[in-house]
Amino acid sequence: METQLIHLVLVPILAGLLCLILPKIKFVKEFIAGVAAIWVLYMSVMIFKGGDFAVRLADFIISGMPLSLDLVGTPLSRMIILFIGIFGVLGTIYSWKFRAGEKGNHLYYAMMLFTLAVSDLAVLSDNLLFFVIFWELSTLFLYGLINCGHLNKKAAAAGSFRTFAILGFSEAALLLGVVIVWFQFGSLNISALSIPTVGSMGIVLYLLFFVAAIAKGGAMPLHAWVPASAEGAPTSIMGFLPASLDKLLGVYFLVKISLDLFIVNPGLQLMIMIVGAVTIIAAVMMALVQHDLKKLLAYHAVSQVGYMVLGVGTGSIIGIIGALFHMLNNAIYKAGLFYGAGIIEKRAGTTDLEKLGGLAKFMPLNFVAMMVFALAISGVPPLNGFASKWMIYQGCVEAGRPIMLIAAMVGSALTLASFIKVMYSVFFGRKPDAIDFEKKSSFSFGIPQVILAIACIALGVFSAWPVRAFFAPAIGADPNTLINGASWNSGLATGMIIIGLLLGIIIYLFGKGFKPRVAPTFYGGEQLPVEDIRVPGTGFYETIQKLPVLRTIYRDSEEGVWEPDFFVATIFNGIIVRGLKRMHTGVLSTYLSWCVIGLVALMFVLIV
Amino acid sequence: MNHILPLLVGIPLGMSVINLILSKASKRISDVIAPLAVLAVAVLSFYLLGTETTAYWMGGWYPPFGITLLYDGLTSLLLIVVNTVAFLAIFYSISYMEKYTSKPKFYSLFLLMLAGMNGVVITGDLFNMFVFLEIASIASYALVGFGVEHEELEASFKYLILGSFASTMILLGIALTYAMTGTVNMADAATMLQSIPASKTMAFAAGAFIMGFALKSGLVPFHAWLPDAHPSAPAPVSAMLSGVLIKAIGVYAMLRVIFNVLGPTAINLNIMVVLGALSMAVGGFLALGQNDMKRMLAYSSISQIGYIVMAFGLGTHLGFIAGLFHLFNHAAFKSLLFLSSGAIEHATGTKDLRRLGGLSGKLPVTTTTTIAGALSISGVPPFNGFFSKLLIIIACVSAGRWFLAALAATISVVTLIYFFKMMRFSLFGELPAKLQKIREVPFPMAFSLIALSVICLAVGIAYFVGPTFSELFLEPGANVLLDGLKNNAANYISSVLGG
Repeated sequence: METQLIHLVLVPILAGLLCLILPKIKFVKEFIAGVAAIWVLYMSVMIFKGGDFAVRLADFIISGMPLSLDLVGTPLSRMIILFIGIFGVLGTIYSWKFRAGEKGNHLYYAMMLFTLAVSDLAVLSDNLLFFVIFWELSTLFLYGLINCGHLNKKAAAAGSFRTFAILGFSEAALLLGVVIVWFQFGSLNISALSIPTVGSMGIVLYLLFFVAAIAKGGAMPLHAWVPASAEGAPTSIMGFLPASLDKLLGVYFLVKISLDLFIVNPGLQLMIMIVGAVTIIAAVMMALVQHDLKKLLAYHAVSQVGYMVLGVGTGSIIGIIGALFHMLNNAIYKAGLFYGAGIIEKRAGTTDLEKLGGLAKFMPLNFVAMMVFALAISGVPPLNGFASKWMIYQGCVEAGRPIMLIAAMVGSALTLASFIKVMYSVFFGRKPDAIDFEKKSSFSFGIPQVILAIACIALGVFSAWPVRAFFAPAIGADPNTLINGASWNSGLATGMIIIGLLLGIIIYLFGKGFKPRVAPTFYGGEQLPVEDIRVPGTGFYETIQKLPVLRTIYRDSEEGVWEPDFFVATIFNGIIVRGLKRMHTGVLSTYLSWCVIGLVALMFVLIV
Repeated sequence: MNHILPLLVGIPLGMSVINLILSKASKRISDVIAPLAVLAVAVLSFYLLGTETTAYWMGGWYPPFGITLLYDGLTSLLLIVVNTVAFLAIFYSISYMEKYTSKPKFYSLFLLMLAGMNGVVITGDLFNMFVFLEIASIASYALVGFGVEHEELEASFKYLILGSFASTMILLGIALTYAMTGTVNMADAATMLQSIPASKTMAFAAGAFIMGFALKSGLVPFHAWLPDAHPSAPAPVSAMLSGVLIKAIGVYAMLRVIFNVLGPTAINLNIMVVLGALSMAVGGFLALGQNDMKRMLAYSSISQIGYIVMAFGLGTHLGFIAGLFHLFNHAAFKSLLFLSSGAIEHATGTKDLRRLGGLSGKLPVTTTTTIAGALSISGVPPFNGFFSKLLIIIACVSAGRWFLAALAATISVVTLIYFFKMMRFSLFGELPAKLQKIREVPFPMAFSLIALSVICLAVGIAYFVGPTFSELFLEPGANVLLDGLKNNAANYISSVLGG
């Protein structure tokens, strides 16, 4: 096991260093990164199959306190390792074409490989302090990777800064929590700890950890970095990190702290569920009105985390399994959607929905794949998104929270509505004349899309298999009672929905479906020739934006009022930093008077 | 062994005069003898490492009449820090100072400043400490204004006025102590003070001392001179000022006076905590708003000194270890960052972040060292800054000061943010058209940069790997402070007054 672990970590690090120092020869870095990622996947599979383990890599003493670097393989962590390996390979292969000919690829591939290594280490670390270190390192590389975006450098800089600020502060909270745990409970090993959340100490500690988990996953209210970085980051990175790896890490940590590290009380469970439900609805409402494909997808990425948080919050076995399953499903289709957006960006030159249209016949493969992903994310059976959402609904029922159930279902409907807009704007309608299609697609673009789309279908149709193989063992539940028992059965619902769809098709075929009415278009009394008319999809749902109460909320959220980090940044930057800067006028007499005031204050404290 | 002690002051002091005389014959000769003199002192300070606590009575005059020099755990750490950084800075100056006229005078002032700092560190006598402190300060006033441009002279003048205010207060404190005890020998004064009841006079003296040293260390609200003075000086001088001067004549002197003479009462320690926490926060936020690279570094010094002073003020063994470790580390990475910013300025002619960018392609060495320094100061493992900041946070938690722990953690993120801002603006991104023809810095500069980067990385790893580093450098110093805290400085007094 040690050899495999060492390979898992050292291979990507060494390969990354090699990418950094090798001279700039074509395809060398791509080749190295690909081989290393595949090797990591191979090792991940071995580790997953190899069973549980506990390895002590090193033993340190820091100022008299023992500190050991333990890597522990539990069913949960081994599963996450496997998923990281899979998305590592897909992300690397996709990047070959996406990043071809860009500057700074040595840094790009090196940081991707480092990210793989530190993510694996974070997941395997049993020691909280090392967990924090690797967790922070993954944020650093995320920052660097967002900055690799060359299309819109300003947006990349702003997005990476925001990412860094939000994740950085959440990690400071985490570090503080870890140090407090060390002193209150005398241990840093997750496996040795079980902290009750009664009394303010336990609750505050849980919140410190919770903040880090949801910030990494991108749930509200710490979500703002996902849409902010979507604007400037390379799309390949959006698919690789915020859409898949960061979700894996965030949800992994949330499950870990909620099941292993803390004993969560019912009040906290309710809070977690509220965070989840609010995230689902609020983020999807924001997604509805976006005009940029990448930003729209980013809001959906936030919304989907809500389901996972909600599932964990239910505290029931089926809910938590649903959350883990949804984590995998979301990573699959969200990575696919971002990769699809990247293909559109490369070949059409823009991701602005207003400037896109009619692409279905120019990129049929991408169209079909995107269709699968869109249906999957909207929870249409028999795709994977439905299976996991269904389990989360069941979890809500078991927890006795019908309101949460309704929120989750409404969120699902709105997601579908939003993707109708996407699919129409990008693939249907008339192609704008500004887009020309000379650039050919390529093998390395197609492979990840096909694999991900097949995975969406397979995991949906055979949804009992992943639950049995991965998720039930991950939290130590018996899969047989789950699948065969009364608690989970989506077969009936699937059947009903398929019957409904068939009925719809029949009604359509025998109705007026075949005979659309064609009529000329009038504009100001004049007839317009049909060729001139192109209806972009960006007009969809503008009415929602104009509804009385929502109007104000949407306007405020455009200005960032609903994002707490915006408030904090305003206070810090506008009031504290600028105020302090204004005080430093450079006038000597002012400075002298500060000294005198300080001296007087000191004397007052000391003498009186 | 203890006969070496006077040499630590004598060599730089003597060479600063000899250097001026010899430079009349040939200007090149200063380039050799000044760095060699500093190298000699640095070697001596390493040679002394690990020696027992030992005192040297100047001219055979026994205390309380003569001047006593003392070498203990705290001294050993400071001597190594000061002289190592000094050597690397002066070696760097060989090429960096080419563009200034009268380089020999620079060397003489530099040596004078070093003599003053070493003097403050090894002396066991309050008035003697004041004299050395003034030597170091006055030399640094001159060095800040060395470029004699408008901005530099203004900064130097401000520094001079505020610095003199501090010196006056320190002198006042010494005078009051003398009035109460009849002696200026630190150990002797400490014994006297322990035998007489606490008085308002001594409280006043304590206030004067603390204010004076707080100003010299750049603690808020006495910090205003620092962001002007440190960026205006030539880069090697900035490195010395931010890296070691504020520690030797500020933090170290404050520790000596509080822990060995006045006694670390709860109120004194709490004042250190409050001043430290305030500086940490204010300095950090101000650094966030800067666009001038060196100014940002100067504000960050205020913030980092805050960390150090706060850790000492916790009054626990772990706090002392954390404070000393951060002091050591800050000397390494802050001088590295100032020297790197000097290298960038040397190559590009500007230090305005808005006019820089894309240097990573053109200046590989400087880029690497800047990244090393920035990662160290922002606390990224495995660099040294990570461990000392972590220790400070742990020390706060173990002392039950939750709020301080949270503040320290928050400010560490702020630090991370502004150093990433600095790196992104200067090293990455688009190379401005004006900077297409820049070249990497010459060997002496590159050597110092690389050496300091290696120190930053090696110290982090050394601390992590085993207890040797801590036992060799940090524990002896922490024991000196513990002696002052728990033992009424009995060990200190007995080793100074000796036999």
